[in-house]
Amino acid sequence: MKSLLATALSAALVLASSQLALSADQIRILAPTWLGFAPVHIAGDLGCFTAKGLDVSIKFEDDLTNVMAAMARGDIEMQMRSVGEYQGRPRDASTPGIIIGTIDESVGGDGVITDDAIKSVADLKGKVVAAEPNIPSRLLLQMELKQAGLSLKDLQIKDIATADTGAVFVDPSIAAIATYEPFMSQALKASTRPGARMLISSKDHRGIIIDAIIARNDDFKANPDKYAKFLGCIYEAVDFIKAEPQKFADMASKHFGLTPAEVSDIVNSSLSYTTLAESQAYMGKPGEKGTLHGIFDTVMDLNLENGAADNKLVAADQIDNSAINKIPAK
Amino acid sequence: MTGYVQFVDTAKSFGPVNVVRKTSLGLERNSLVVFLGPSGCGKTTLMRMVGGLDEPSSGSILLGGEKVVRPDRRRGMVFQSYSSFPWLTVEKNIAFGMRYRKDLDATQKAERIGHYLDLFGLADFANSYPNRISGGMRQRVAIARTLAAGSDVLLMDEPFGALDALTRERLQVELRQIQIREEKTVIFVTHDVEEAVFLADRIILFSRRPASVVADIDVAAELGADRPLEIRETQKFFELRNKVLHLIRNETGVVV
Amino acid sequence: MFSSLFVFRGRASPMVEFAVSVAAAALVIALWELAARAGIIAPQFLPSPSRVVVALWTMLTEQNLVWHVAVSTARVWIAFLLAAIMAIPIGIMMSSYRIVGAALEPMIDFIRYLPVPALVPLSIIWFGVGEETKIFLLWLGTFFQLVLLVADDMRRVPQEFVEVARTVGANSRQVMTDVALRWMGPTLLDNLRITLGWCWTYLIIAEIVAADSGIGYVIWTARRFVKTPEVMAGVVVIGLIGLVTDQLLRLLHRRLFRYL
Repeated sequence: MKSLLATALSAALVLASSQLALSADQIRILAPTWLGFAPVHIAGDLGCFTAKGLDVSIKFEDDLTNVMAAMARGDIEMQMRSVGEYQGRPRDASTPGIIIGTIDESVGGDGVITDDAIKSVADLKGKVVAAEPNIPSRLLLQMELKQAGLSLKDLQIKDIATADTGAVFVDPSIAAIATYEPFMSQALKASTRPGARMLISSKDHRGIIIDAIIARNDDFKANPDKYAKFLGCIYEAVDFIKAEPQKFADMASKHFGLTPAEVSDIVNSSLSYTTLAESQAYMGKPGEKGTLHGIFDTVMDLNLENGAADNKLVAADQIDNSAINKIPAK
Repeated sequence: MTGYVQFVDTAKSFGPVNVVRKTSLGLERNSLVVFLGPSGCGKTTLMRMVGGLDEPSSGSILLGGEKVVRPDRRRGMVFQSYSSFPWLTVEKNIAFGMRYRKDLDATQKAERIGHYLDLFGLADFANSYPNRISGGMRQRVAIARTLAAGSDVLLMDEPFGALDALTRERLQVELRQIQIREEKTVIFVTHDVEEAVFLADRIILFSRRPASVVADIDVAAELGADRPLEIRETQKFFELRNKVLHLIRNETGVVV
Repeated sequence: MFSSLFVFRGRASPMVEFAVSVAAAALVIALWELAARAGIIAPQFLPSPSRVVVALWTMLTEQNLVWHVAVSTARVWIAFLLAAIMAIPIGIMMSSYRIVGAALEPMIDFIRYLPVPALVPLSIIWFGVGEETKIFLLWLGTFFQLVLLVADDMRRVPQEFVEVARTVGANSRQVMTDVALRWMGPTLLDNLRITLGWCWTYLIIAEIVAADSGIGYVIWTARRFVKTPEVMAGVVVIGLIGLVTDQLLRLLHRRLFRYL
């Protein structure tokens, strides 16, 4: 009874304290519920943020509209999202948000599943394909269709929620589903469809699905050093993750309600955290363009084509490498 | 026209429906007047207007010379059902009558509660809730509450209609005794002829709707003030009852 | 002792009825366990009760479930009490003064039908992504239903009681507090009990907005990683909380309203 009271009181206190006043060293982050953003949690656990005088908090928000509303309102300083989703409607040139770094990229975490009725992407012509609007694997599908001389218009696309992948895949009239982990593996494992397999995987298209770190423009302009420090901590965390995968799994498991084994499983089969060097290659040296600019443009065209975006965004205006280049090299 | 309660050219319509035709009546103080008539004839509406619960469409009602405008303590209502509050004990129900009285202190209120509990034989049930006592006792509680409120005029709308014959008789006897002892003016609405003849000092007989006075019978002159139960078996009672019944049948063409 | 269970409108003792309830629930759980083990439905859609219990145990001992439950409970009760404190007077006024009723009823009826998930981005614009939005969404799902129930309750106060009160000298306010509110007590408590239940069903919608705590957050995160036993465990926890709260409120009802 006493411990129940204590937890109730602490819960009430948490609720109250979550309304603390704003401070200049504050970074409030919204990111999807995904291990790709675990370096933020790890950096926190390692004490990097406190050591650098940063007040960082991260909450999960899967809905992009909510994240954009929060940033427009000034409730958050940062969001993290794949570049493709970032470009989605209703963003235009005046929408707050600017890419200042990368955190991870999809390596097998996104893809398209099908059975042996479909031997290649060209076979999808005229078939029913299920996919949640504006998810990364739609881009993969588009790219491969292009290579086969087709486009999304040659398919019958049905909108679904990715969480329903497993259930939807039971329906034989659905030829393929664009989806992501772990729904992808779960659907394949449970499926009785003959030859159920991955048709397209982000493993074969590295660098297309990249999770970016996106800052709110006004705060970024006002406190550039804060963001440089933040990024520094992120890449320190990434180094730690690569050096101590087991410790990482233990630490991450607490933040995601998973077992350490589940963490390792998902990370190893789905993604690769970008190190400082890799991120700097994407972002470019001071005054230069990195490889991300080209990827941004490619993905932008795909999004305009598939209807996820209305406005063509200019990469140079959406990417800022000033903060990441402030981080001292090792 | 004289009388403690006066209806001066009182008429009432609810929208296009005329319920009470222009009526002028004077009722004596400390008398028990019965409004008798077929169901729905408007007699209840006429009584309610004395209580200030409905407003006359034309004409007015005077109480002791003063025009009746809104409900207050001087005129209390006793209904057939929903007469006592289910969430209050018998004692608290009676006390409710005095809740808004600023002229009594706590001791006086307690004394009055005791008085009415004894008067109505409710002392043993003071802490009982209405759902645990009989229908007859519930109606006694309602009357006690009205008296505790210090009501001068009791307006009673077929209060014994839902009770069994034996209980009804007993309550009729009690009502007359209390009316005389506590010196109250009572307007009693009923469609039961026997009840009317037994209870009334005076019966006002109403026609079918819209109500107008059809007959005005001085019962006290015939039966006197003392009404033991046995009076119901006397010849005089029987004749009076028949006379009223015939009046009803002739004037209204309706068997009450 | 048991035969009265089968007689039309027969009544059995509370102990017997309790035993039947427990037995029926046990039977359902046993069938569920068998169905899961036989693989009739794939485990990621319907895990067995034993798996759910194991998940629940882990969540309790290693994943701070009690804390999350406390946070969610606090949110629900704050939103619910806010809704009640507003709905009771407004509902009473709507029924008592037709100008209030005529003005508000159409709008309340309209808002009542709006799907709360569609209003989430709007509530973020108004209240941000903190606790306020979560409380607001929970309140949204509760207030508009409750105010109409209160107005209906108020309408059903017998006119006789109002008139009795008037003839012993009560003014309008006193009629509302001393008579109408007392009459409404039992149905009001019942309506509160029911709408509290509805409030819980909005928990997930409210807690997945900028989520970091609460059972809704726990369920959502588990769903994201297809940890179906954990999802079901979270759902079961909400069900248990509902069951206990319901029984407590029924007990309170019996205590408060002994006169019924």
